[in-house]
Amino acid sequence: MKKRAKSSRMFLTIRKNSLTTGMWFVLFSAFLIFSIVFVLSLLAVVRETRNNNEMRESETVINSVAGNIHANIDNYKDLSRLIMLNKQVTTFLRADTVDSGIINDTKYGIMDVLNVSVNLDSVFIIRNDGFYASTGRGEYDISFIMMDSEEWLTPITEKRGGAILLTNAGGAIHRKSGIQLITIARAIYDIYTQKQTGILLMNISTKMLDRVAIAGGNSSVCIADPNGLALAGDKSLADYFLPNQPTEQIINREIQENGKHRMISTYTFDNIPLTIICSTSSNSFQLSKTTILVLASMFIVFAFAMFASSYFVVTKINKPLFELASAMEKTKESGWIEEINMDIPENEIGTLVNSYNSMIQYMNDLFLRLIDKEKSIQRAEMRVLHEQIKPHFLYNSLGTISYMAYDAGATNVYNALETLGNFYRNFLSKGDREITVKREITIIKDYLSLQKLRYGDILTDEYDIAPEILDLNVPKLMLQPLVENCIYHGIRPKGEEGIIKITGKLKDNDIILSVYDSGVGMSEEEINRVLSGERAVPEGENPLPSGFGLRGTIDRIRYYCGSDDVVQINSVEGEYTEITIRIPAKAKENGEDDV
Amino acid sequence: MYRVMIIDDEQSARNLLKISVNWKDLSMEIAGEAASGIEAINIIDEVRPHIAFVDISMPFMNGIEFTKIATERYPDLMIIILTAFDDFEYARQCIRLPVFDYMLKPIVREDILENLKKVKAILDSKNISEEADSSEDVDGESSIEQIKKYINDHYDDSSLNLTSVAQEFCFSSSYLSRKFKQEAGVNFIEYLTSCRMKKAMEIATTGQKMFNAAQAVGIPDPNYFGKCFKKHTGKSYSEYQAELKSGD
Repeated sequence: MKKRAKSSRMFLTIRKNSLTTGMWFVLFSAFLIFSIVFVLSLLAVVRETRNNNEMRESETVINSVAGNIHANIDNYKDLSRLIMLNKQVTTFLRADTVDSGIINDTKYGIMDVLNVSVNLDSVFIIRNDGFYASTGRGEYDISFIMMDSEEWLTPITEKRGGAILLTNAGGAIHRKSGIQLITIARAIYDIYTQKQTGILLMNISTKMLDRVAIAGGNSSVCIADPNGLALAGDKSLADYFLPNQPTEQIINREIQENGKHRMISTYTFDNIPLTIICSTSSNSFQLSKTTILVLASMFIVFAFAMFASSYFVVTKINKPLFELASAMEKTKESGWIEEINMDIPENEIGTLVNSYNSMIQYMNDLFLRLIDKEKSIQRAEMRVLHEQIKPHFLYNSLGTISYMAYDAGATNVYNALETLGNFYRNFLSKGDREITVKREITIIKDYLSLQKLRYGDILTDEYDIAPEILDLNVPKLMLQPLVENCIYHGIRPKGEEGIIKITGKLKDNDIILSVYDSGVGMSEEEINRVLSGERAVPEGENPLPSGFGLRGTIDRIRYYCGSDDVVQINSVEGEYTEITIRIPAKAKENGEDDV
Repeated sequence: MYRVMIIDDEQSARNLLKISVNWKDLSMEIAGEAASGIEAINIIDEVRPHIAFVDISMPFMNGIEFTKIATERYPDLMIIILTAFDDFEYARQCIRLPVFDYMLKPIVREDILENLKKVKAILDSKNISEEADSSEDVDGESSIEQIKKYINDHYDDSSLNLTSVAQEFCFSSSYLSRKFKQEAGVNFIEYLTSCRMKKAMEIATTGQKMFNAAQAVGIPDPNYFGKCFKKHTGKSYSEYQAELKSGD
């Protein structure tokens, strides 16, 4: 009982654990999912912010670089105008005949302007007739053939004096040292005649850009020509050059390289043959304080909500459920189906308790009804059994058949049926436990005469009963099983006709009854076995209940007398067996004898 | 004609079964009856039944022991266990033998008839013919001598019969039966019984009781032993013993 209680308590603990574990599992998963989502969104926010910052920075850099370039170019444009208006230059252009003196004067005139700026590389003044004056800081390859071509000239003349910007004079002039040149080209018109007199090509060294291509902070900048050739700044950025990029637009690209992140912004001028490439990469996550505050408070609120809900589940659901289960278990252990008395608020669990209790009540009612029903069924069955035990039907049928036999002249059948009816009447004898010796002897006589009918004349029966014991009471069916034993285990195995002799006498107020048969007899061993109540044969081997009648009867007599020393067996093997019973004499209690 | 054998220790029960069925209609005949398992074992080779009704509760060798031996030796034999109610459940529980059916006493003719029809159908389908002997002429004479010796050594085995010896010596029982008669001049069973009776007569001189002598010569059923003894000597065992005494 103790052990059982312990095991059931263990069972409860396990169940509680599993419920709690489940809850914790759910909570933990929810927390994990939330954390992952939180971190992911945080990363997205951080990234977005960083990209925005980088783009802003890039744009700032590009705008400033572009502004500088514009300003410089404007300066050079002003200078070119100055050259155009230079006295020597106009003279050169108006001169009908050109000689080396004029050209030299022109060169000096240009030189004055050239000296103003270090990065002003060279100036070419080309008359319509092909004469030209030039000043420069180096040696140049000049392609006059190109300059004569329509496609080279047209863009310049179309502007009617306006400046256009070219690289290396549109391919016509290259400095031998390899320095790239930005050319301001414009057609020159005579002030008076308003006719085009020549073309001005002013080459600016791209070294000018070195001063401009400066970026601060996390950015680096590169200025490239329209072919993607880096001219100034961080030359490695030329790799990110985009050909055919729309002009006057900043294009941002996010690039991951060797695990490093950078923002590449490119900008191409509309009228200047240059592209600015800017790279920004900021390594620090910079979040605004507000963002951090909002995120942190969100996290705290969520964690608190989680804790609060689990606390609620544990105190309001888990614990009452556990208590309820314990109460039910206790009811089960007690072995009684009882209602549960628990202090539980009137919520769903309270309803559960009430439902359980009403179910218990219903079950108890049901059990009571079942028990009542079972009892009445039992009573009915007892009546039926009683009817069956009273074998009126058997007796009546036997009577009818007896008459039929008698009527047909079969007297032997009539006699047999009569004996059988008589045997059963005495055998059942109204269910009494005790009968008189006289009736027991009658039973044996009937029994033996019926057995003789079955097996032929294999035996003769003799009776020697003292008249004074005939009316004394003995346990019913005490001798009959012994006689049966005589036939089956004494006489039949011998194969010879045998004698069964019943004697009865009174001695010292005890009834002495003995059953004798001239059968095969019993060995000492067999006698001991029967008297000690052991099984005659080992179990499983020939389990026909052969010796049972004898042993059962001996047990019954011993029980009746309250003593073991009431049965005695004498035998000589191959000669006879005699079983003697000694029981205290009892006066016959009731006067009736016949049924 | 299918041969039927009835094995029951009650004469009246055997008689009742005999008259309650019209055997001819089923093309069957009662070919033999035995009052115990022992007697059945001794005569079964002469009767050669197709069908056997076996009672369970019989002295000396009960129906179960008999059925065990018979199903082993005669695998085609259709056995119907016919038993009183007391033994019925016991029989069901302890026999797992290939018997055809269990029937309860007292017999109901209709049930018996129904069962016999079923048995007949099975036997018909098996198309049982008297198996023709393959004339396996294996050095008949010396084998028969060996068998005679075997009988003389084992006469006290109550389950000994033609078929068991034939199986022991790997002959068909019909061949052995024919050969034995041919060589020894008497039936196998006659030889076996006379061998047992000679032994019994020896035992009788020592003054032993009949049931002991019966046990000793391998016919533990003293009733059947008595029958055999009388047939062999012309006198009952006790008469024989009395004569011996007066002769002294």
